[in-house]
Amino acid sequence: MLIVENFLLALTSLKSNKMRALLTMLGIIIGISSVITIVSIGNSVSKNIENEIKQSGMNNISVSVTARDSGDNESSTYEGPTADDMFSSSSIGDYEREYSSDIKAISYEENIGDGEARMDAGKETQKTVTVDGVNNGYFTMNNVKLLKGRSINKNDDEHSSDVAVIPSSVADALASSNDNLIGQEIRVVFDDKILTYTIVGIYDDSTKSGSMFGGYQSNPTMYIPATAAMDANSSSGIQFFSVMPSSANSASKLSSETESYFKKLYKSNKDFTVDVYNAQKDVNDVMSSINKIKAAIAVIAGIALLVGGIGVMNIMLVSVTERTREIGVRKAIGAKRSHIKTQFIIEAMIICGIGGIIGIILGLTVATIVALKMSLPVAISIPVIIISVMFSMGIGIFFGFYPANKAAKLDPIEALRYE
Amino acid sequence: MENAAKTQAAHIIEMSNIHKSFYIGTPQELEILHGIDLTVDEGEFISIVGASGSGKSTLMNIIGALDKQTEGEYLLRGIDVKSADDDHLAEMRNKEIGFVFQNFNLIPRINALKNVELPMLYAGDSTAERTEKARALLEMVEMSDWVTHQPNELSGGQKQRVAIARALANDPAIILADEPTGALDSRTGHLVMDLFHRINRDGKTIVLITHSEELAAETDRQITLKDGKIC
Repeated sequence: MLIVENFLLALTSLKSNKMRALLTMLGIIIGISSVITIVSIGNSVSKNIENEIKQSGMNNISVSVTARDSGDNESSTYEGPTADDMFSSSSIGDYEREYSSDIKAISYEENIGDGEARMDAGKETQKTVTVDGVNNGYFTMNNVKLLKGRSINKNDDEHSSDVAVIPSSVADALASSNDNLIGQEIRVVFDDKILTYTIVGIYDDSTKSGSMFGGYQSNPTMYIPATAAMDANSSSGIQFFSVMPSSANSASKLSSETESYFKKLYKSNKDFTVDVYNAQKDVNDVMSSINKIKAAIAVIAGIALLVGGIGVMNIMLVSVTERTREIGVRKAIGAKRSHIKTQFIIEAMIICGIGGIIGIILGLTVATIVALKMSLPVAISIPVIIISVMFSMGIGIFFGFYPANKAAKLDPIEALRYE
Repeated sequence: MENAAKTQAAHIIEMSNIHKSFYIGTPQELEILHGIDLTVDEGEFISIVGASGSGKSTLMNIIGALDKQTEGEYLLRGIDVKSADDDHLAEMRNKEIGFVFQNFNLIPRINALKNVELPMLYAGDSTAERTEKARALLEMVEMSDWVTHQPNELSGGQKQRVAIARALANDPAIILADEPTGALDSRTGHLVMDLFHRINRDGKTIVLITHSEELAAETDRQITLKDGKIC
């Protein structure tokens, strides 16, 4: 009841000094709005980076066989890794089984090169394609969208089956309709050989999104089993594969586990070792830099808020002095210290509360405009808003407390005599 | 305390050997009141007269529980004022004393009704109770037409009538009026005095502090203060 009365009274007294109240609020408005703006824009930037990471598969872990940096001499003649040094689909399979719960997909490739694809019954006679040997995980990792049939599966990879998943652009070019393409044969003519595959699937290559290698590919890519490609290339093993973690959070853990797994495996290999690279580490560094910058600017904004709070205290002290006589009268007619204290603290809280709300609206508006202009995702954080309101109320209590206490402690006789 | 209040109900104020000193920087000590004995009975209308510097303001502050005596005993409706702490004193002023000041001392920016409600607000009365009682009091002082007016919209005499209504709000033991006509012209001053007489006839104890012999002559009993002593 007294709270309501005090609230109304505080509003009346603020109304009677509109300009002063507004100028006092300005400090709080600027402080709160800059905090909100900075935190919101910072969140937008972080969110943007996160989205880009998700899209580009930066969570993925790259595992590759590299020459051991022995450093002792340079006389050792360079020789490429042999089959024993490289990964095979079975050694990768062993690794995948070991960490199956943390791994969503493993992808490896063996590129054969460009060739002319031909079919018997086609609109056009031939179409240049890049033939890429891939495993089953490649489809998951690169978001390959199947239109018909199936992807290259484990069985194909194990048996080096001569099967192919062709891009829709090739299907459209070489066949009048792709209704019965599945099961038909496609020939690819290379400079030195002709390879024949059975079509098992058609994928959508109209959009090129999702490729972690970005850029443009001049030719449509036709997928065949990686092992089949290795046979065709007569290559002895896989030198590089990527791992997609089951969740973004497990990336760094999986990365270090992978590293120790392969380091152990290659311990006895004198010439080669395994390099494990995870972009997440770099991303974390970037993120922590951003957070540091964000914190530094937030501190400056916080100082603005502090200055605003001191402004409130100053005005409250003026208000107490101005109303000394009123305080004396109130005490004479029976106001206790707590009554006077409550009255002034509520007044300070109202200044800060209104200032805080205006500051939040202003801050969110600025942050939204900036985010839209910079084509960043708009990140409005409810907890930040709630914390800001509480914080500005807190400033009211904190900076209102001293003046209120001063008012409450006034000697009624002195106060009544005050001119 | 309940019992004490009952047995001594007849004495609203009981003062014996009241001394009041002020420390004006150690070691000097300035004694303003040199042993005051004063008893005021219920329903009395007394006046305390004295020239400036006689100590009447100091005495008024002690009677009004705004200040405490240095020595001696003061019972306000049987309650020992000296032993009360700050909040307890505030409560006593709220319940037992109705102040009327020379310069009215209404709270600016709030209307007459709210001003009269204020002591009841501090006493913790409900909104409905406060409004009803404040309206009745304003009617009693013939200010019904001015309830929503702010102090700066009222004349001196009107302000003082609102102040008297406010003083009566919690049905106090005494009305303590400090030069209540000092800032008014003589005609308005008389009207205010008439109001005090009317309130007194209704049974309210009134202590009037004044330097005017003329006003003091209107009261039941005159106490003259000179150099901190009753003479």
